[in-house]
Amino acid sequence: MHERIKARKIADVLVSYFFRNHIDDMTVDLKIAESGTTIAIHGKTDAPIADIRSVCDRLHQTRRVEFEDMYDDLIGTRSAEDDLELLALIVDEAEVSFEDNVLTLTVHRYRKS
Amino acid sequence: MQTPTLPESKKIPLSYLFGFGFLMIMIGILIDGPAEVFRGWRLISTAPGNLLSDGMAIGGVGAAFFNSGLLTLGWTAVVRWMKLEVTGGIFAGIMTVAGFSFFGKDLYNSVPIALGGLLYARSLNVHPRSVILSMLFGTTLAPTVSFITFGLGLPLVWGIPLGWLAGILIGFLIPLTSGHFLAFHQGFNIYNTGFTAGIIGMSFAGLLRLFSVEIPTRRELFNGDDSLIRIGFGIFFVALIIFGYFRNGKSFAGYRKLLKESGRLATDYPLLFNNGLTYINMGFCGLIALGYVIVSNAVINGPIIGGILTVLAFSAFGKHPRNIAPVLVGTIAANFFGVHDLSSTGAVLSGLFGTCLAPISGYYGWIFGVFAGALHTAMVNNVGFLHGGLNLYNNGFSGGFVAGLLVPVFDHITRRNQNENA
Repeated sequence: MHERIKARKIADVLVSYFFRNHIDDMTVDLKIAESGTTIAIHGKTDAPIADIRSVCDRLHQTRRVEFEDMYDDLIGTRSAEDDLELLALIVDEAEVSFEDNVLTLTVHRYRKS
Repeated sequence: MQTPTLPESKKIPLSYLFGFGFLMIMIGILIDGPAEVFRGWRLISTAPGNLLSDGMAIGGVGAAFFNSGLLTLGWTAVVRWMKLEVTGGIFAGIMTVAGFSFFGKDLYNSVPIALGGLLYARSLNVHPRSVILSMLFGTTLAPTVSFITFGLGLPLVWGIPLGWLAGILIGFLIPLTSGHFLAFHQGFNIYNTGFTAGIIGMSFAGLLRLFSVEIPTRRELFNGDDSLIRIGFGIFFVALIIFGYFRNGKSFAGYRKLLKESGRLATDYPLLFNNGLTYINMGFCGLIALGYVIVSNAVINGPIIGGILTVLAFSAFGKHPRNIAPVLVGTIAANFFGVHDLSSTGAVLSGLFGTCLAPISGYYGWIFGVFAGALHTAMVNNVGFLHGGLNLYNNGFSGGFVAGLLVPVFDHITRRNQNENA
């Protein structure tokens, strides 16, 4: 239940981010497994979002376990930009790819030992 | 999978916090001697502790420092046990505990709240690490434990279990509810737990009053010579700036960028920048807080030490000179034109703790921060009765209401945050 709530919030931020960048045709793959949660968002677009590399860097190894249950309820209260800052506190890694006019942003959230 | 280890520059070494705790204990023992410190510490630990109970007045200056050092060491040991790295959030939590140990927190009343937090983590089957901040900040309601144990006139055989039961319940409720209250002020009140705890404390106070229990307002304040404390703080803050300057590669590079942060939750400076710039920021914010107290001509007592240390604490987690100064100006103006004596402890605390609204000036601009500070000064004097002083973060409680009211108004005026998520 706890992990599903987190996954839903992450997916929501990613969808908002794509919407904000005028991508309206998208699909979301979401998998909660024993090892962790993976969420990939695929959007059809002619060109990748200009800042997606820096967003990806920002989501890399900045997860803070002590923050994620304390402040993740702020997600969705302000702008998409603010939400990305908060997202960085609850995901472990992010990858981006662009092939055949499909932009894919994948984020991983590992199960902590 | 384990959380990747942060680079050294992105965290505050645990040894610094252990060192700070030992320093506070040594200062306490040097001031009053071990026997007097132990006698005073027992008095502090058995006092009801609700606002404003100054440990320096109840048990003596040495005992108050000892109590603060003891809790700093205890919480730092908990963080070490949890194998957590210290960034701005945890640093803010521990230093806030250190500050409030001068007026209300002690080992006896903090432990049950921590146990409640652990119980909550267990109920969710998550690691206690994820509730450490709720445990740290949740001790704002520690006086509830002491008040039930020592303030109701119950025999200890009833007072202790009832007090601890209340503490465990509080410790469970804080992490359960704090996220809910975040949405109210959207992260513009940095002391969110103060707001959450104010609502919980208000419920406890209401229940006690339902059974005709009076919660007396306390005013036990130290009024002695504070010159050494002023000098000590001054040296400490200047040393922090110098230390930070060297840690930041003998420069202030990057500090201008830090000053542009709004400070809205959760702005973690060591994580976003580095620890060197964070120490520099702590030093500057500390000097501003100390300067404000000196200009106000107030005596530095336990609660004011708590206020200064809390400004220092959150200088790693959202506050910086540019966003706290307008709020301070607002509180000074409100106190100047209002009925409150500028040098009174209450007035000074409304300024120091009112900086919980720093993100308002950081996000909307300085004039909005001045207005928020002024409204906070008016509000904070009206909400303490609701929880009977059982919530030590009374300013965080008030700040939640102020931010909750002002944020939509300021959004409307500045046309910010409109349809941005759509």
